[in-house]
Amino acid sequence: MKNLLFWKIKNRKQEAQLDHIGRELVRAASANREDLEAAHSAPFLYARIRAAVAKKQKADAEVRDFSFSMFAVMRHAVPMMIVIAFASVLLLFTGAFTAGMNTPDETATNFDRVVLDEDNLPLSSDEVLSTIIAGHHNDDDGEGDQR
Amino acid sequence: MCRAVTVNEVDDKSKVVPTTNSPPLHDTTESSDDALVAATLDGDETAFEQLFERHRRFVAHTAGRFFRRREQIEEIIQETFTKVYFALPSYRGAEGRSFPAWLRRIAVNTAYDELRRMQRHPESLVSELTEDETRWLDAQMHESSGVKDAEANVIARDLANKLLDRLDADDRLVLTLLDGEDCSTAEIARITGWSIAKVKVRAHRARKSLRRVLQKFM
Repeated sequence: MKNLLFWKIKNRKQEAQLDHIGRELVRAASANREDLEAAHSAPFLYARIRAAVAKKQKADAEVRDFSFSMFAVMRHAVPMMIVIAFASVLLLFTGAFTAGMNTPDETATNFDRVVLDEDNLPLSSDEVLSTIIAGHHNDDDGEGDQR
Repeated sequence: MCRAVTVNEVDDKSKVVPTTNSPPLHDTTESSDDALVAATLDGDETAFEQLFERHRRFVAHTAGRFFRRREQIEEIIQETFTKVYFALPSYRGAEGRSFPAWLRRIAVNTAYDELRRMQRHPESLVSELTEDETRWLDAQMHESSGVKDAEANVIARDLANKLLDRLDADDRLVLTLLDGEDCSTAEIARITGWSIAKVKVRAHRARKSLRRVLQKFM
């Protein structure tokens, strides 16, 4: 117990000594007077500050310009996109609505149109084959007549 | 109160009274700092130059607490005044705190940023102590106030930078403000924007770290 107390006191004394050296070191770490004088009276120091300020102002202005141009584009583009989207939705709905509201006559006309449209479809391979065979038959008939 | 700058509540020219007999860190003969700030905000470039001329020595002194190389101090002065220029609209003058206190805060934070940057990109590993440096440490350990000649100061400075480089930026900042600038914990809290409790904890840890570093070499 006595040893522990002695050790604690010794330890505390040593810590106090180390703290004292630490303080001395921190104070000693400062730059010397000549370096300080040289640093704050360096030539063109103010000119360098002005240049740094101007550079930052220019960079900020560029960022601002870019933001403004992006904003201008968005300001025009977004309403336009909304109008287009709205028009598309409107067209879709009106198309569906008119298809659903057809009268019987209109439905018949549409059916005719479908039939008519089917006539314009390209020939199927069966139709092509039958056309060729029919052509051969016609040729054969012609030769027989000549004979 | 932090060393060298005592804020006088009376509205004098620059609100600063030097505490020592050394040449004043602030020129107090012309218009007040607040007037110069207002003029700068109105677009008067010469007003900002006047502010710079008036306070550059003070900023160099603050930077010199953290860095010893002339180029580093110049860099901190430049960076600080550039930040000041853009932060002027947020300076509240008489409503808040004096211009030098506000300036010190910016300068200390700039130095702190630089310390952290240096820690991320260490330039060189800390070398072992020289014979002179070990002797200096021994002398300090065995006598509380030895004779301090110019040579001893140079040795102490080299040693200090070697050892303090081993601390992290937060520890170094707190110790420099506490022991180098003689700031109170409340002042450190104001400068750094930390809480008083955080400053106290940081200071305790910083002292412990420094003790550990010192013990390694003793």
